[in-house]
Amino acid sequence: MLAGAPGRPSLLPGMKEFFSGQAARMTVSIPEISAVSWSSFMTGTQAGDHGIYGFVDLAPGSYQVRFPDFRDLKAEPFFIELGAHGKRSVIINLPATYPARPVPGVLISGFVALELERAVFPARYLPMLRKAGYQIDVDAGKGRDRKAEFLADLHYALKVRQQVADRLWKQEDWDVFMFTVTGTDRLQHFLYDAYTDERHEFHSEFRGFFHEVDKAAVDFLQRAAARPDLEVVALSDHGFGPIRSEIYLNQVLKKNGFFSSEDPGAKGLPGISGRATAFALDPSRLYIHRKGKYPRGVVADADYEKVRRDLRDLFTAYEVGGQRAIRRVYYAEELYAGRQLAAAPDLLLLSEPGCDLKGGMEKDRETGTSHFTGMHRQDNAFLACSRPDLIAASPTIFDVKGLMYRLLAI
Amino acid sequence: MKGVTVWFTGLPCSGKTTLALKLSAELKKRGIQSEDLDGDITRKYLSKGLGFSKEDRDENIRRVGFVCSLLTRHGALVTAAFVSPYRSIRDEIRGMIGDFVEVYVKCSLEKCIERDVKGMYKKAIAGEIKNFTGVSDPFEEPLKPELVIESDRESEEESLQKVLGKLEELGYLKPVGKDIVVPDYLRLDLVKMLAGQNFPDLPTFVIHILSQYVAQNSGPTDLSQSEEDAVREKLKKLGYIS
Repeated sequence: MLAGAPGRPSLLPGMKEFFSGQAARMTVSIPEISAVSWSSFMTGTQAGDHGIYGFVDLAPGSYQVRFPDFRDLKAEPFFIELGAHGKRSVIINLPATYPARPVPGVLISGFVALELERAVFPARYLPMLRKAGYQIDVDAGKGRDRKAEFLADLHYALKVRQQVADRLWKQEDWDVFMFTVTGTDRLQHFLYDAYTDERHEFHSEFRGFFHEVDKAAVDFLQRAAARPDLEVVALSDHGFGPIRSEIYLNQVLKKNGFFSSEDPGAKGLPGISGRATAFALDPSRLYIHRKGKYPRGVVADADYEKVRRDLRDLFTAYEVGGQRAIRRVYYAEELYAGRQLAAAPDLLLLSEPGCDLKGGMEKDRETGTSHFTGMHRQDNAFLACSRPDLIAASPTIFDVKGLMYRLLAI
Repeated sequence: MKGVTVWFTGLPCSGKTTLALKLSAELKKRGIQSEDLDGDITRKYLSKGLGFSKEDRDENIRRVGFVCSLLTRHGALVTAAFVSPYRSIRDEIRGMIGDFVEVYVKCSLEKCIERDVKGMYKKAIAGEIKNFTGVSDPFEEPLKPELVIESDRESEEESLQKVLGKLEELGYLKPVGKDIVVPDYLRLDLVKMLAGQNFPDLPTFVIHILSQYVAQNSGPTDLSQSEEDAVREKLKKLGYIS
């Protein structure tokens, strides 16, 4: 968005100018979703260390879905680690930090926080946040069929968050100040088509929201620039692009004989049959149905490599509309290492732009479209810094914590 | 912290010094060392030779006020307990000091006489002590004190809380949270974690330990069914789970 989509002007021209066009294109985690990417950002590690592989996971030895949160993070986030160096942080709206833990400074958790009471440390800021009308997130359900209301909510949430940030900027004693904007993600999921289509009913509203974000960002950037003791880092946890097709991985597995249900009426993963050799979890994670690991697991250790190879072959060759859909199929150990590796998916898919991968357990076909028009991209996030000389040649989200520590002389 | 002089005025034996000393003890508990001045000290070291005529009394208070102004200017919290019966000199030192909180310790003459263990009131009534405030010399009540304490109607603790509350309200003291009881098992766990740690300050250490403690003792996510439903709905709305 700093650079703009191909052939289009930047949606964040103020930020682009501030960083003198020196922002770098950054790759992020796989899967390229907030829970994993922000966990990687805040710990400087990949999921094999921090243990967050997605918004959902399976309880060990079962088909029971669970929702990992901040309590499941197995590596230390920078804003806690920095306390040991006498540094205080103010962290506003950072996803994957719910429920809030005590931190040296202030933490206001972002998505998927449920209750404000458990999303804020220290609790003394609760009355201020309530009075200001602070919202953890907008109701994304409105993005589907109440778009005007959705846009108004996005503006309101941004404005209040900015007011709160302004107050904490002045009031708190901090060494690191972080303000996360999530409204742009919400907007692009539902209205990416409004960005690329100038005749779209919400085209100018789409640009208008980015304009507000740009103004808010520049306001903080200029304040920071006015202080010689501050350096600035800006980044996104993933990029964005238009959706050409959604691909429902469990249906692909079913069609190719990897997945089957116990009986035709069985729903979801708990209904998986003892003949199934693989299944998928959102958005792009493949698991081999191993004997001893899952209650009805069928793949013996001796057959594991063959099933893995077959899956890699299947998805490497997979096409939608005559075009290759999967850019690369990874084995877990190609992406991850560390103490949490045992919990990793067996294979990970990185899609080609436009191919939005989903588990799609309940779908009745392999591909389709929906009301979503924009999807995350792993390869076009951005990283900018007031010290561009410190940015690595091909930066990744795993490098940002190290960059911050260099700026803090740690 | 900003300096301030808390000036207690009132009849002899009204409870000024008692309240000032209670305030001083409470401040010490909060880690604040106050400078405590009262008539017995200043008449010995600062105003030796001055009597109890209006002029001498005013001069005594003026000298005390000057000392208070120096201490206050350098960030000290000063408690000053003086009869200081005349309004004009109290107002004069208020102007000199600036950060000045006048606490009128109001008490009926009867109660003051009852409390008078040294028998000064008795002597004054008998004419043995001249110019004794409340008996043979007037006490000019403050017109706009920051606080009025009714020491013959309130307990000492109530009066203390009123003074602390006023100082917090005026921004001279930071409010303190209520004490919480830390269970022994938690205290012992924290002590174990403390071993070998080196932190720049205590609050940072405590927060760090708390954070580790929460992380180590929270275990796997334990969402209630309604919480799970709420998370699932949010994720579905954004297409993050299908």
